[in-house]
Amino acid sequence: MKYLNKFIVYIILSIVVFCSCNKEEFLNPVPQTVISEANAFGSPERILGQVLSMYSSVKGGTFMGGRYFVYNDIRAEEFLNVTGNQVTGSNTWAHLLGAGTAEVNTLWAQAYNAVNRTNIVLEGLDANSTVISAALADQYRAEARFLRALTYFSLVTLYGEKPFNADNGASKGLPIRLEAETEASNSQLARSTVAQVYQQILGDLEFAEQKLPLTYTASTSTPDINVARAHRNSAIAVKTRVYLNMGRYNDVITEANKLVPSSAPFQTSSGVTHRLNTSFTDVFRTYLTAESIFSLPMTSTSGPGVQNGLAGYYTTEYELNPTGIIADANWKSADTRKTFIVTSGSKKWYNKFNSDNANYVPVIRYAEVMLNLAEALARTNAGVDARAVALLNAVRQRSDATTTFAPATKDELINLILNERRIEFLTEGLRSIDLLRTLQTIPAKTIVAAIPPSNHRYVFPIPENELLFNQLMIQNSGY
Amino acid sequence: MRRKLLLCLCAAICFVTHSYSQSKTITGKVTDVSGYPLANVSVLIKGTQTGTVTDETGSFSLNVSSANAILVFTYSGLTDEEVKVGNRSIVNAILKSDERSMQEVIVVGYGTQRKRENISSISKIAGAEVADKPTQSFDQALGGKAAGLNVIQPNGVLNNPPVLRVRGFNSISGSSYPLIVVDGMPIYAGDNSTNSAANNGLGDINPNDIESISVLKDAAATAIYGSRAANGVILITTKKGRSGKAKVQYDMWVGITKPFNLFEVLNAREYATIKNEAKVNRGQTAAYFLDTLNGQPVDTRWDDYVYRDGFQQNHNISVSGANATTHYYLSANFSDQSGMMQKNEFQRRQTRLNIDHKVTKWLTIGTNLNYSKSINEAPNTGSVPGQAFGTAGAARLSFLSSPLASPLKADGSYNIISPSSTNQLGRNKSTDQTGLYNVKMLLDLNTFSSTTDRILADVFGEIDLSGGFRFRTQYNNDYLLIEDKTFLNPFHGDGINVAADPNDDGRATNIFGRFNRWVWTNQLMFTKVFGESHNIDAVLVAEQQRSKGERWGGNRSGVSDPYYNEYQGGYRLNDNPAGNLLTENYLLSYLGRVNYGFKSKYFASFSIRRDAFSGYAPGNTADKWGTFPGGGIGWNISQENFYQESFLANTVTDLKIKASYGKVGNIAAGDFDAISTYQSGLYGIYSTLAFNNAGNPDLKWETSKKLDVGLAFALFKGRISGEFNYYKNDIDNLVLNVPTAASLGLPGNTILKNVGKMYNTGIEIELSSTNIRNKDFSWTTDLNITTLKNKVTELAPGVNEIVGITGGLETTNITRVGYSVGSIYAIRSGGVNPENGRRIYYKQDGTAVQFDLVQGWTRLDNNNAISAVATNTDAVIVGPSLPKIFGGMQNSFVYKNFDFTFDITYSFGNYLYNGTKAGLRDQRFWNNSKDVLNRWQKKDDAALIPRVVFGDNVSNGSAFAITENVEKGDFVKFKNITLGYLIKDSGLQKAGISGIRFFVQVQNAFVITDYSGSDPEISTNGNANLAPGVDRNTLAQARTIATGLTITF
Repeated sequence: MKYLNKFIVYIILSIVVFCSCNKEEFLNPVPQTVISEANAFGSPERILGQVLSMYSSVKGGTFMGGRYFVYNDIRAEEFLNVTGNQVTGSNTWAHLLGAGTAEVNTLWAQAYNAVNRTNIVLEGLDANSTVISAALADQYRAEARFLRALTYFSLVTLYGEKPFNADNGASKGLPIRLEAETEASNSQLARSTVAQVYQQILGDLEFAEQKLPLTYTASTSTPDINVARAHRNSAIAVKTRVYLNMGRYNDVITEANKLVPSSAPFQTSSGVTHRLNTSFTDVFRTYLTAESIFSLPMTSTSGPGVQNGLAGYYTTEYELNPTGIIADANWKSADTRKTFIVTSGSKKWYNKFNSDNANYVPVIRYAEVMLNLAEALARTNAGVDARAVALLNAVRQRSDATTTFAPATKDELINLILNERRIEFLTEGLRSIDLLRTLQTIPAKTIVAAIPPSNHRYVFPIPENELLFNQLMIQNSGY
Repeated sequence: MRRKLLLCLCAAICFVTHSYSQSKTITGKVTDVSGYPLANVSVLIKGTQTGTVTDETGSFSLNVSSANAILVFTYSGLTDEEVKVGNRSIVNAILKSDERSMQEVIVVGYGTQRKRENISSISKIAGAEVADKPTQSFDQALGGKAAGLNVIQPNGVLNNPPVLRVRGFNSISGSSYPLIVVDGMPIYAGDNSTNSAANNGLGDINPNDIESISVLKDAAATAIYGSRAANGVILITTKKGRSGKAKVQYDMWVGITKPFNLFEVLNAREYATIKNEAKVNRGQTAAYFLDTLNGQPVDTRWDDYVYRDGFQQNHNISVSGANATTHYYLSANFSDQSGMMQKNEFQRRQTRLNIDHKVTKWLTIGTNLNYSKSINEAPNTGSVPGQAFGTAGAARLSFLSSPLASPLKADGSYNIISPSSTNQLGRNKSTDQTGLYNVKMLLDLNTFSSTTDRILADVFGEIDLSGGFRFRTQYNNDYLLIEDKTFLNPFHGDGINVAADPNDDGRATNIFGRFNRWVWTNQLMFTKVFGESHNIDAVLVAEQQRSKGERWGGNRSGVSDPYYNEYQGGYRLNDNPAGNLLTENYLLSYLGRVNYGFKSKYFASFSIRRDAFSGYAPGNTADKWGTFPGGGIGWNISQENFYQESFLANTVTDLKIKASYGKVGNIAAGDFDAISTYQSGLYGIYSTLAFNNAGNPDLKWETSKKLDVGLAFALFKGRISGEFNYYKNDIDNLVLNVPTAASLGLPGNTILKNVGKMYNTGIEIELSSTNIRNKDFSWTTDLNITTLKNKVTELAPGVNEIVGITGGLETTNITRVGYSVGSIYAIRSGGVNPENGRRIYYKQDGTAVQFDLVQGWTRLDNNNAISAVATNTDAVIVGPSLPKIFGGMQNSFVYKNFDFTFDITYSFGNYLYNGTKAGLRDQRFWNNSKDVLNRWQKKDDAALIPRVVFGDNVSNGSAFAITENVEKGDFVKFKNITLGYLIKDSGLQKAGISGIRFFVQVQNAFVITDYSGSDPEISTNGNANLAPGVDRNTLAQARTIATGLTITF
């Protein structure tokens, strides 16, 4: 009996000690709230999600969702800083940036985060070619390369050691990342030249133009799809901006002619319909007009983030400089573009953006394509280009029907166009780009001195979150 | 005749001797210190095998043949007593339990061991040391009680987890908090709350249920906990019933708690003088004026609205007992404590049942069940980690708000500015800002609570297989339900978002969490003595642990009617969900330990543990394993023959040397950090899936190689005993965020890797001394001293330092290679320039500069303009935030029925950053401490406070940390002083009460220190490794006076 008891006991012991109890499964738990790397491209919905995540990274409030536009405007002459708050760009406004300044670092990091996502999508599409059709895969590749080009363009116009037009792109540009990075090993990468960066940008935009769809089909669940996602006309429009920046005016004309007919009415003839919207203010309040070629959507659950949105900056942080464009006598008070000016005490504010969690951020619109074309025509024609004048007047008269320009000389035409850009694109982040591509001095404002192209502060410094960990990186000279 | 006389004489002598040598019956009673009778106490006549045991009333009866006989009373767990019989026929004995005894049993991992045979470094704290103290959890009472264990009460918020460190910092990114094991189960500890109401998981354990606490420190003791042992292990054992008749005990205490050492701030008149002077110095006009309210001058002491006297009470009842087969212990606790800040409450209701039963000769089964409900309520104190700069922090608002503003208006409504959307304290007669929020309104209308329902349970079965083998299986479970509720009122404070839509004013957030952990341990134990000299004690264990946690909640804003103050009321907006968490992990372990002793002279111990953790090596089970060995040797010199014949033997009655070495680990990663994952998000209205975590499949444990060399001794037969240990912990494979170049584009630009190294070293001295012991009076002292040096030797590649930030905004510490973790880091400041009243600073290269709000930064020597100082270029390391020497001393006096103890804790050699002082001198509208009255006013004033200029938040250290506000944190604190009186009346005993003890105690009695803040025992950032030693806008500590009684039936 005693032996039987002991025997039973030993059996129990063995069972208990060696009970398997699903150990394998417990040791390898699968996270329930995120998707692991192995499954990230496993279905068409997931791939589409990845594609849209590229857009959301570009849309990040520290990059194009807000601050990128703000920095490009406040470093120029149109605005005065009210709060002196370093968190909202006072150092950018005053040209007091260093490698350690916060905005220099966060903008760079967010932009390259977007680049990495495009590279991850490109690599994932190649590795998972059976999940979706080849045509759809090509479209997604085109969207990725469009966004990569847009991001590199935004970065090189701010961080490149010199603007392209200063030395034909020979100066130090950016490290060109074209591989998907998911590990820590490849931090070291040297800067390519500005010209090489532009070459990459143009290559990406060429591919995008070929493979992006002409148009998407909007539906009730995707009402803004032709505004929020890239289509063929988006790529062409961005090409006009890039070529203009490189001084390749003939190429601007070639590209813009795909979108702009030889005479009024100025409207695209293929792909998504684009034209000037009759009401200027509606473009910034209804967001889905035909004028928007590519905009970034904001909602209350998907906004730019605290202190990143355009509305906040131009209603509380940066007032209009009384000696800036609002002092232009030819910008008449009846011009509908002046309805955005709000006067509060002695200060004037420009309320083009009024709600961070509702306004779509306009990356590029038809008015810019028209003015890009107008400028290119004006510069290449020996005399006064009539089509350029017509385009200029179309843009002006959309807002101010009483003014008609009739410039006498080529230079007067060019200046009128440049001036029109200042009015039309106020707060849309183009002022610094325009100054730098024309190699003009950034004008002085109140206590801040003017910055000529020879001053190293003409461009941004390379941030220390790059310099410290990428030994092949060289800082812009002067910093 | 002579023969008859001889016979008579012989008879007489015989009779006389017979009356001595004839067995005289001695009776008596054996009790413990509280008068409780002890059963089954062995009573032996010394030098013989003759003896008996006491019965359930503690009484015994024994025949003794000689008046010189000595009775030896022994009882497991208590000190032996020897009493000479003499002429008496009644011999009573009182058996005491104290750490002095080498025979005492200590709890080690997965077993127990006699102190004499122990060669590892373990400190034991008796349950009585933490019971009946005016605290919310037992860990608040551990300060100074064990060498090597540093306990810092971070502030006076109720149930705020204290900082616990065993032998210094053991991690940088991971936790340095020790593993807490209760009855064999590693439990959830730390702050379980997601809002302002602190909720220390250890507050769910009733301190009166604790029998003993063991602090395991070196490799020999901790290696058996392997991958979680690098920070030390604290073992808690709860009470079991003792043999004899049922013991019923009722303990209670009631007390009043008050804030300790509040700041003296300016009154209304002084404030107006200073601030108007500052305004004029700024070139503005005076803006601060006195007001009257209902006929009385307005001179608000905001402390009166924020702090209060809190009433606290705690009641405990326990029933325990045992017979030959069953031990039982049943207790219930009700604790209701109001803190010294308004609206800070702690309530605990708890019950425990510990039962074990010997079913047959070879089978014992048992269970320990504990249910606790704890309700924690607090206002937004600004004093839990992360809150230091919160606008609504009540502690800061109490010293920052102007005395010229009243909390209420004349009509009784709250004094806030109109329109209320400005969200600011009212100004009364002043014309400039007088405060941030109206703290009285916030305290009245905003609520934060965190409620826990917790079940800690285990069942076990133990089988006595013959031949020295025993098998035990135990299943433990820790189950918590936590509900956090927050309500922010729609009229004023954080519930209003000024820049946004007024329709979203008023906000309620409810978060509900469920956490469950089970542990199943199967152990095979073998104990045998071979050949009378070889003692083997071995254990082999297979263990599994699984933890699952889930949490979810909601946010609602825009209260529809001002009456609603609960989540379920009417709101306009339902916002994003809050508190989402869904996670699990699993630990599979095999371990074994062998203890070998030869003739109680030579000892060796070896343990090894293999752990597999689910969070490492995703998909590759073979790589999830780690091996953690540890061992030690010891030599009981005092048992050697040569020693016992030497001259030392009579003084140094016990002498043992020991050494141990081993490798243990720390899991410093989250459950899924090693996996590269993609997370869902939004692009406008579209769903996205984005790469969100660059995982490292090679991530593994931080390892700590611990070396310990020690000496344990007892002098004069245990009258003085102690231990001396030297320790060195070499920690490597620290998990750190390795930064990558930003252009790489990784999420967060970092990846976790095992790269860092640091070490802790020092000595520990523990001494226990019975200074005086005679019939009526005894005095015992326990002293421990620990020295500590911590140094970081390597961080991530390319990284030489990591800053520590307080409250998300202020850089206060730095962890740099070659220095201690979390060293205090500030810009060097000098005094005040007597020429112009400006604060002097020093740049990195030593250049002296000065600051004025209007003139800016100028050189001290020639007043030329110069660039501003900045923390990242000019700050220097001032000193370590870790104490160089710390410890405690407990003195205990007993005189007849009185007992008196005082406990001291001390700490020397650390620096504290007194950020609160920066706020107390800030020259915005903020109220200031009285020392601002000695500001610089005219040329050649030798003042310590610079010229007051309105809006200046730089000169006194608010904009960035300056050395002016770094102070030494040396202190000696009288932590607890208790006076008790024990009544043992025969009349009471007839009524069934074996003793009543009354006591009066003061917790946090007073502090001897030069620190100018409220208390040098402080930590705004809680258990943070990177930012310790910071005092920033934190609540004061509390001093509690309590009186209570213990009735034993």
